Amino acid sequence: MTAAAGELDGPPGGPAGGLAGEAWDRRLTDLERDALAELGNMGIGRASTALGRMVGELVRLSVPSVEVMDPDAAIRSLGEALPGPLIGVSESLGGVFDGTALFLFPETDSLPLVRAALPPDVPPEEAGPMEEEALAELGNIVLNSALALVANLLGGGIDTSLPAVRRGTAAAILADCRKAGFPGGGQAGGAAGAEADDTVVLFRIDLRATAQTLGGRVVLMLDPGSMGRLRGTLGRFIGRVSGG
Amino acid sequence: MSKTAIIVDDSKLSRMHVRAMILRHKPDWSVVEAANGDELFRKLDEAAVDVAIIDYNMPGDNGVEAAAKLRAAKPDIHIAIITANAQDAVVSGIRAVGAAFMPKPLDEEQVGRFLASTALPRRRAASE
Repeated sequence: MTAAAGELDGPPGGPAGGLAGEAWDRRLTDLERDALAELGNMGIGRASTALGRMVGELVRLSVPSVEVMDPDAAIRSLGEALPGPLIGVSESLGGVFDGTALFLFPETDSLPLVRAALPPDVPPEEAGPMEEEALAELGNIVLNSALALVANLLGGGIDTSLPAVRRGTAAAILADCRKAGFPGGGQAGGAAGAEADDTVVLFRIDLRATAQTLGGRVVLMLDPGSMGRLRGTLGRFIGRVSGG
Repeated sequence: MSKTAIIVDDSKLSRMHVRAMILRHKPDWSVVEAANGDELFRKLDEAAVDVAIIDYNMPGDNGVEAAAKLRAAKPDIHIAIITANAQDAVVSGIRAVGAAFMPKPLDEEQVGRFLASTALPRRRAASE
């Protein structure tokens, strides 16, 4: 743990991340939030190592950062950080928590990334026809590398679906993921009810190659109703690492 | 001795990488490919397969389920399961079917060691 309870976001009840403080505090304490950020940091470290190895020349650029926020704040933040058309590779999650994991990056980085991931004897023009399927595999490895580490640290299983490749703005891709995550239109009150309750965790991952910088985000969206289960698991994790 | 290896993975990119690694280490081997568990068993009827490298996260049977069926059909086959999903429960499931676990992205040396190990009779897992 890097900080004790109460040290992260100022006075209790104050603004935390992108969410009005009071609603937020009912769901996650500062210590739980810090534990989640720490787990995310370790997961994203693993994911960026995996991505770097797949595309050869890329290296980790920055210390990964983690933010926890509500969906509207996440869409604003992602829209500012990654304007323009994006690629999103998503997987639905079950187990320790229900939700969606999403690897998001600018569409202009897609073909260079796929070209870099091809075996050495494959001509670069193969990248175009293979783009969708290669993105699915790259995303699958990035997301599973992070999630497996987090699951092992938490001591619980996380089930992952097959990857889906989506294109559009950050807002459109998040909306698609949430629709896919709530078959039948969501909880009571429909999509609006679901939106009011779910939570987004943003993990930032920046990688630099000699010729390009890939600024991507790994997004974890938790379904409404998942937060209780996650809090229980986080509590046990905190108890173990603090020796309590 | 020349052997035949089958790569079972729904990702063409992954199959390309695995095929290239096998042929770099074992240039005289034959390599066949399947995109899922069902196709694996169709290909088994067409070729005598000695070694299987199977992805975990696939449509239909996952890699461990496919490996268990393959093990029942061909008890002496050498199997490795490849995945970035190194969760404890997944890895122990892989070991329980007597398969080697190789994390994605694949490490070329580890693949080389697995391929070299197939020259010897397969060691049984404790659970078998």
